Amino acid sequence: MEKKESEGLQGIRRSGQERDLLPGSAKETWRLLRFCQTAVSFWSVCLIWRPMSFSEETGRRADILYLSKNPQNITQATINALEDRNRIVLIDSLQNLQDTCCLVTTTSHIAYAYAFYYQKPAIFFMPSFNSIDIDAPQFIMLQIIALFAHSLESLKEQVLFCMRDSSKGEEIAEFLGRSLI
Amino acid sequence: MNLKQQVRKIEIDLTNNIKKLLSPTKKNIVIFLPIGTYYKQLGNLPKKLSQKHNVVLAKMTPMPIDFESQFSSNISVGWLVRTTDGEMPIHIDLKEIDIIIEMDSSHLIGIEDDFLSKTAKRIFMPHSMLQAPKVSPHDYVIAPSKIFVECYKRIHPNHINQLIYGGYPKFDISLTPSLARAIDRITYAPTLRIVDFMFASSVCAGYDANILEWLLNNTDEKIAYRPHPSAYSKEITEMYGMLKSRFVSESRLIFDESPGDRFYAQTRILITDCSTTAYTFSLSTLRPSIFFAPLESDDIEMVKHAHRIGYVAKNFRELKRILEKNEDKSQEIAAFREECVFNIGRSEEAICEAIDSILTP
Repeated sequence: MEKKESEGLQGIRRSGQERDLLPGSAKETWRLLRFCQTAVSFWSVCLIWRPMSFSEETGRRADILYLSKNPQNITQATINALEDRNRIVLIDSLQNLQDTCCLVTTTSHIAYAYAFYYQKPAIFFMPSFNSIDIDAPQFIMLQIIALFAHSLESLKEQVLFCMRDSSKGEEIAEFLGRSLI
Repeated sequence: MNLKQQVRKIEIDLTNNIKKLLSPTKKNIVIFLPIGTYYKQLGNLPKKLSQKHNVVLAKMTPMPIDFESQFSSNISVGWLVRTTDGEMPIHIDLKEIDIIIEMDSSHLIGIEDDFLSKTAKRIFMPHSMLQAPKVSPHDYVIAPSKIFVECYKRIHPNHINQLIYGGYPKFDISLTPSLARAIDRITYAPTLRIVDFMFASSVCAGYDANILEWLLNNTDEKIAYRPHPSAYSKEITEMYGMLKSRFVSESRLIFDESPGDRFYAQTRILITDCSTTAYTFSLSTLRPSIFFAPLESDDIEMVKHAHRIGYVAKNFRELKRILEKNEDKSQEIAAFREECVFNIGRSEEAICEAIDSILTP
């Protein structure tokens, strides 16, 4: 299983060069946002909740695995800003995440890799929108794998849902069990 | 007519039109304002200069009438011709111009350093009270504060241009008592976000939306979102529109687009990432500002001196603690103001005197 995971996930390892591949306007935005570490962290963040230590009885909360494409100093500054920073674990790929419960991203396609490989949902956190319409046929994959959050409050609700309820994962597994024709 | 011929015709016409506005007897000062955003930083300086000199506004965008009325005359100018055949800069060289005062946006958009005149003395007027520009091809630079001077000397250790310890007219105007208004809100005033594609707009709007949502859920006061003045007309319009739509039904949230510093009077505390607005707000009202999650940097003066006018909050918990504490920081801020800002209350006079001495060496 270990070998198979690393083979399957080679393509989504973090690359230090990715920022240089951004188009000019994206680089400009990057430059303007570099003063605002929280803003930068929204650029290309994947947060993955690992619910192993979560317990409603004890009140212990989950660890957060943080896959960041930001430069190291920005990523570290973001983590340092958090009071319970010990709960944040930096990762550089999606390997060995079977015990996680969901992935949170802004708009990254990495959500597909995570969701189909681990059969767990991806939450798209889009606080700049009130809603997203994914009824069109081209969004069928999203209909299967995605949950959406448009506010901090709804993000919290969606993460807690993923911790407690495995129905979305079952839906993904059921989809993968079907044939194309 | 090809592009070169078109440009030549424009150069001749524009040169003649500007010449008509120049005085044969008085000194000619041109205030060149390629982007309308920062005109407030001039305060009443054009009016004061016009009492003695011929002061012409060279603008690229329509400006408010009460601002234009401060000048002896005004004219619309362009610096670039763009057609389907390509683009070509406009060259104008008027020896009759004695001084050109420029705002810090001209070189940023690619305007050549000797635009309008190769011989006029050039004075640069920054829009930040603290942060010195990285590029400064001008003969003179008006310094608003001691921190600006230190920053300028650090960035340009071998500079040959002269610093004028002038002060900051916009700040002086904000010190003038305005109509009494109830202090009833927290204002969030982020820096300019230049975003010209959907994803970046979404990121920026999302970031600001998170802060606004948190403020609405964790305070009882009115919350005002104060966009950068460029938000209405430039590339960030899309981002600003997203933000407005997200909170369209939120009655406690105000999108404050009032011009100038009117919002100071109603603001109890200002929150920003690292905007220089925090300094003009706090130093004029003596009420504190909070810098939310700025990346600590030795290069950014606004962040380095944040504690002199308020606080830095690294996260929402710290923000909550600061807001609930509601400390009076007025004495500390007043002390910083006295220590830092040049010519408080008389910057326009000081700058006029400096310009007079340049004109009469």
